[in-house]
Amino acid sequence: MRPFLRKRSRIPSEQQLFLLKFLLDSADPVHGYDMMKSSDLGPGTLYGLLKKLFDEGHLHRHSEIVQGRCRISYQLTDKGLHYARRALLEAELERGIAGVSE
Amino acid sequence: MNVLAQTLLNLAFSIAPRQDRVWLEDMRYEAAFIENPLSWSFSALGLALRWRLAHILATPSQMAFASVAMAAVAAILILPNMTSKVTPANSVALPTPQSPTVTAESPDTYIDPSLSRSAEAQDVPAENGSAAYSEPLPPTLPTPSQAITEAELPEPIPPTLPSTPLAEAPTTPSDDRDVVLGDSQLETDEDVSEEEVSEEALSQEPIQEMTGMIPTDAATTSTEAASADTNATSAAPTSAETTIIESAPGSSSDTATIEAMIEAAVQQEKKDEVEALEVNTSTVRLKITKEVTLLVYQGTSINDELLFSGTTQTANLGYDLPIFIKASDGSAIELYLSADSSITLDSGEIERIIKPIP
Repeated sequence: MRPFLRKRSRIPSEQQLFLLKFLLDSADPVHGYDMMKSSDLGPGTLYGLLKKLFDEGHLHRHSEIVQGRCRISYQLTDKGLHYARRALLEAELERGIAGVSE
Repeated sequence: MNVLAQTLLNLAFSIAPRQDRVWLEDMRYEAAFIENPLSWSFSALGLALRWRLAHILATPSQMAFASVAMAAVAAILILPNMTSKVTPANSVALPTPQSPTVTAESPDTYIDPSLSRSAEAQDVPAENGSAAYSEPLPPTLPTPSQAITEAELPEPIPPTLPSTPLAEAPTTPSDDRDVVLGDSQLETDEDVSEEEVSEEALSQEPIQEMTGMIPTDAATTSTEAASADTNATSAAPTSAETTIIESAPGSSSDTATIEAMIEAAVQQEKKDEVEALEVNTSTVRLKITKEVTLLVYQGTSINDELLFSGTTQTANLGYDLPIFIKASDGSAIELYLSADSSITLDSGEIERIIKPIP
């Protein structure tokens, strides 16, 4: 009925889907700078999305010492894994439906 | 990581809401491993501002505080400007006890008729910052603010044309020195109604408008009539006096074929000592706000006419020698130039070349 509102309420944005896919594909925790290099996300966008995922319980933060300095890496939680798979699947379905309807 | 990036990260950390600072701490850690930490720091600052704004919008108390703060800033910044705009610069001048006291220290000094108003305008508006000197305006219907200003006068006197014909003007341009001296005598006379003086100065404005003549000190008849009961000499007008000099634009235009260059160099340190320049078809009017020495000289040999209003002194500038005019504070000088003449003002910092409008 109102696809715009339904889409905004359920399906993550393209940037968030990209980040979820990147985190889903990487088995190990990933640093913020590595995520930024692998995507075209800016630091502000990236950390905004990370914060959102963390607040929703989809993300773990790991602190480690690299070259004598503290560094934070991120990894999806189990809930986050489930959420990422579902979101990516829904996005695929949405694209498929859109393609068929066109 | 350079100092600027570190500073920006610290700033972002302090701006961000408390619950979000952990992410800026993460960005600060990560910045040590980044090739270009400066853009990273700017992004962190933008993110911190975004989170702070979202926090303010989500918190009613902070939202109310921000609204009050913005209203206060707007009141401080905008309202004073609005009030200064309401005050008209050319409103009917209420004479202050000090306003019409334009002293004449030199015979060459000319007291411009409109100066009595502009001097008053200078007294008041250091607030509005407007240029103090202006050509007398034609009489217009009073604006509401003028009406308010005039309402404060004890006896409103409508601006009228001088009752005495100009031909009956008792003074001649040659009397100007006496006139100026008499004016300084009148300054001490408390019987002179300053409201009348100001009104007389206004009443002479239509003359210039209708006749195209320069305001003159011969038209002081009505002013003298106003001050007839004073102890001053009969020929002594008030500071509102003007001088009628037939402005003959291009009167020396026969010599215009010669390249005339009249340069006036104002030997001063501050450029604002000469201000509110006005250029007419044949007149360059200067208003001197401080005591300066005006250097007028001519570079080429020409017979040009240089009239110093107030004394109607005609200087034959056929020489390369400069002429020094010592102008006192508040005085005005008019230079009548031929059509092809020009005048250069060199105040040390800036140089302006002014030519009469053809």
